Parts: sequence; structure tokens; C-alpha cells
Amino acid sequence: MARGLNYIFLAGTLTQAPELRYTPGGLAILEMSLGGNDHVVGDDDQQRELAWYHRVTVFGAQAESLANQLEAGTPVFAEGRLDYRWCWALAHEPPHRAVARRLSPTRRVSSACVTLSMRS
Amino acid sequence: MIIGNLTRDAELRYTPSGSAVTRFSVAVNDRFRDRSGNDQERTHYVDVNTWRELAEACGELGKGDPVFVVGRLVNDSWTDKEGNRRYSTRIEGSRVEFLTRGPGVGGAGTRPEPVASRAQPSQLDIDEEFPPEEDLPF
Repeated sequence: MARGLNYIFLAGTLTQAPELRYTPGGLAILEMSLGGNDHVVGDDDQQRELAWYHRVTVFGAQAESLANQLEAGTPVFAEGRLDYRWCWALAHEPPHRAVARRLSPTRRVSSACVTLSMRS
Repeated sequence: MIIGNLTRDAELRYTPSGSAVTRFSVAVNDRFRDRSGNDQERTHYVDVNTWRELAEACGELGKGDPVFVVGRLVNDSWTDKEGNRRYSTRIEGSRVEFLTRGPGVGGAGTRPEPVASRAQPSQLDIDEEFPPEEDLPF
């Protein structure tokens, strides 16, 4: 039985080449920086751009196969959950990361879409 | 929100007032384990409708293309020429991401195989019809 919901979708482009690492136990970890530029409409009816950046992580076999396909500037779609660790904050890294269950390169980040409303 | 592959090429049309409308149908693969512990695969078909700039962008989508669609679920009903009550359910898309095909990049929605056409029974074993992922030329 689910006791909560932690589900995120990100579509953006990689700001740097991804970094493939291995844990001492041999698990592959692919770390990426993903950025996007959304168009939003606020309470004032003005449309503006909202830039965002997130760290995205993929584990296992998927991490290894993606490492060769991705580079800086690759448009990417990711689906997963948001993870928070104290140790990341203590290491002066962003404490939040998106852990992607599914990640795939896209043809491009679609710019044509119904503008997100941020109206209250 | 759905992820799946187009069952046929997207159809881009224009209303008399000049607005673009694109319709397409998405096959969503669903995997589950039945009561006797066997892995089952089932495909759901979802109609998607998009408007204006988004419709223009979606016009280039072809059969088999994997997409991620965000939108509202809309129910419609009307009476056809024979007087029967007809119902349809579709997604009015507000955002569509064009995913890419390729091995090892995810789950059901990004599987490289085009799904079986509507005419065939959905219980069909897709893996028998198509070569394994590593044999595909991309």
C-alpha cells in the first residue's frame, strides 16, 4: 500500500557530459546535469521564462549503456523520483537529486506546448 | 500522462478557421504478473488530440514513434446516423515529448518494437514477431 507519492518528470538538455562511476560493489552510476527553460504565466498574466537545473542519476545497466549515448547538449526525458541525502549537502553538493527509473534521449525538447499556468 | 508508441502516422488537419489539429493513437504496453505467476503483456490504445503550435509540431510524428504525452482526459458522446449513442475517450494533449527508440534506455514506452496493429489480437507474442533489441539497426 502506497503511503506517499514521489514521482517526477523532467525534459531538458544536458548541460555537461555525463559522468560514469562505479560503487565499490560494482554498481554503475551515471550522473548528469539537466537544465530546461519553461514558459510560465503568473498571476500578472505575463509570460516569462523559468530556467531550472537538476542533478539526475541513473543506476545499473541503463547507466552504462546511456553513458555512450549522451553528451553535453543532448535533449533528454527522465522519469523517476526525487531523492534527498544529508551526505550530499555535507559534501557541499546539491542535496536533491532526481533518480531516474527511465531516461532516454529525445529528438528535441518540445517548445510548442500549452503554457504552464502558475496562477494561484 | 502516458508513454507509448504511435500506431500509425499522425494526421495533421486544419479547421475552417485555420487552426491546426493533429490526431494520433498511442499504444501503451503494460506488463503485469497474473495470478498463476506468469508475466503477461497487454497493450492499451489511447487517442490523443492536439491543437495549434503543438499540433503543427506533432504533424511530423510517424508510426512507431515513441512519445510522452501530458494532457486532460476528455469524454465525448454523440448520436450517429443510425441513431446509436456513441462514446469516445481521448487525451487533449498539452505537452508532447518526442522520445527516441533504442535499446537499453528504459521500460515499456521506449521499447523499439512497433506494436501489433489493431487488427491482430493483443495477446500476440510481440517478441516472436520482431528481432531482439540488439539486432535492430539503431
